[in-house]
Amino acid sequence: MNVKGTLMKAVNISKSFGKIQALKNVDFQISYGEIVGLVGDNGAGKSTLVKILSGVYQPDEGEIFFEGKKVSLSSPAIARNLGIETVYQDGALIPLMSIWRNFFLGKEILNRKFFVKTLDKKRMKEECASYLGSIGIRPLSLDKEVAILSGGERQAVSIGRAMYFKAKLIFLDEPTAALSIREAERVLQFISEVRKAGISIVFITHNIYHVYTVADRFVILERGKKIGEFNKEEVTPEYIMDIIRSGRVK
Amino acid sequence: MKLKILSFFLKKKEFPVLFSLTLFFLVFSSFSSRFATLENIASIFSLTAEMGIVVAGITLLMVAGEFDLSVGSTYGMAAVILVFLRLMQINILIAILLALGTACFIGFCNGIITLKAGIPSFITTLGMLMVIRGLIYFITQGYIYKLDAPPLFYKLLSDCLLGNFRISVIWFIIITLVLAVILSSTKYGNWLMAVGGNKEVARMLGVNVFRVKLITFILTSFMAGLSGIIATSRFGMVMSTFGEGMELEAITAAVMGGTLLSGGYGTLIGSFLGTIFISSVKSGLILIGAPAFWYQTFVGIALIIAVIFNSSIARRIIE
Repeated sequence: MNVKGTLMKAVNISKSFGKIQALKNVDFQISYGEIVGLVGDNGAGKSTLVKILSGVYQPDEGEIFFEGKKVSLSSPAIARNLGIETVYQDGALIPLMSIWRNFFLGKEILNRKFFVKTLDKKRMKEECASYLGSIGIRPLSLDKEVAILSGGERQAVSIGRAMYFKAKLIFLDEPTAALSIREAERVLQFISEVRKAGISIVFITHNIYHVYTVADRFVILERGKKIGEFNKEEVTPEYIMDIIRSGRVK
Repeated sequence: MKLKILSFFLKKKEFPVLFSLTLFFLVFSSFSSRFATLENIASIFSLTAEMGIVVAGITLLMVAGEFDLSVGSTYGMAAVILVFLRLMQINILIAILLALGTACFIGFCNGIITLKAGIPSFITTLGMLMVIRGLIYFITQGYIYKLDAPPLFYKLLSDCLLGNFRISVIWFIIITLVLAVILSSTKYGNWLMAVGGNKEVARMLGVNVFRVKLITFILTSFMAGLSGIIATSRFGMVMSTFGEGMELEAITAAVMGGTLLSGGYGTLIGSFLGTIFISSVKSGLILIGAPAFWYQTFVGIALIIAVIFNSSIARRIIE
């Protein structure tokens, strides 16, 4: 691990949906180049925290700092411009759109033709093919719809997209949940590649064994509260599972 | 190799409508020697042009995952505004701009109500269809009003260029091509497909779903208004039933052209062919001397077959 200081820090984050308190005074931080496993049972608040830190939801209370500056993540576009990317369980791709269109969605490369800005399709396809090729993905055709890719390939395209756009921080929300054992291993291998590139990762999962192999630190949530935070060398996977199961640190 | 070529065409969104159109032309040409003549084709295109412009707009909205059932009323309202402003001696350009502005305002209301209140656009626009149609009846009191406009107005919008071939066909083709380029080659078009395909994913990737959908609602109404103005120039008058029933025909044409009702997938060229198909059915049935009421039955059967084709293509892609 190559930790050089804090990349993102969230202080006292609270969020309610009607009468349900999804998060209560949660503090969270991640350093440059660090992989943090964000774990907890269903309804613990993991996805809500990620959505707040990636600009999808706005917190009711609390402050967020990115690279030392206080930021207001009022939309996912603002978060993406800061270098925060999120990869969801289904890969956050549009099934009926082509691979290259998905790859550049929200950050299209444009050129000017007859005073009108149009998509630079040639360049986008070339960049997409070259980048995906460099990380070992060679789909039949980039014009094919994403729906033809396997779950593992979709995750790889999403993670590849985040790396291409020079993400500083990637949230992986249950990236291995719907995958076969072989595909999950491939995605974990991918995560190691991302780490080599010096990108920080927050890995959200139910499967402690998947995250344990790659994470440096673990943050455990339970019913909207942070109940524990451990460095990898302090805990075993079984110990973390025990905390999640019982809902408290022994 | 042959199988590869066949599979390539089968997977094209436009295939079902192109196939139906070709089959229809072959069958009807054998029944009536007047069907496949240049004169009849020109008249099919001329009848198609106004509907086709509405279909082009509604296709974009359907790709964005929304509906507009109020296009027929918007078409009628734009025509009524134009004719009434002319009756008040308002300058033709200002009258056109105000008619188009009214159409855009209807689209804006459709969009704002649907997106802010979170109700399905099917319901919002069904309500708007009735509201606007009621207003049209109120304004016209059921009478027919003649349009008074300078010759250039007719020359630019609806005059015959060659035989039955009207200039409105040129507008129809230009609009279809421009919107096709917008859909396939601009950021807005890319975002349109994304919000129709999965609006949550699109939002998470930074797409402004609200803005994209609102613009498309307005654009659809603008096309309906423009089409209403072109139709007024062809008929030289307006009446309270102007555009009635147009919405279902427009959606039918778009669906036949390969646009999915579920959104995220569609093509302007397919919609163009779908509109031509519907007009050809009208013309073909008249030429073979079939009773007029067979028209709807025929279009209905063709629609169901096209949807079966389309869903099987979409399923094949997903599988």
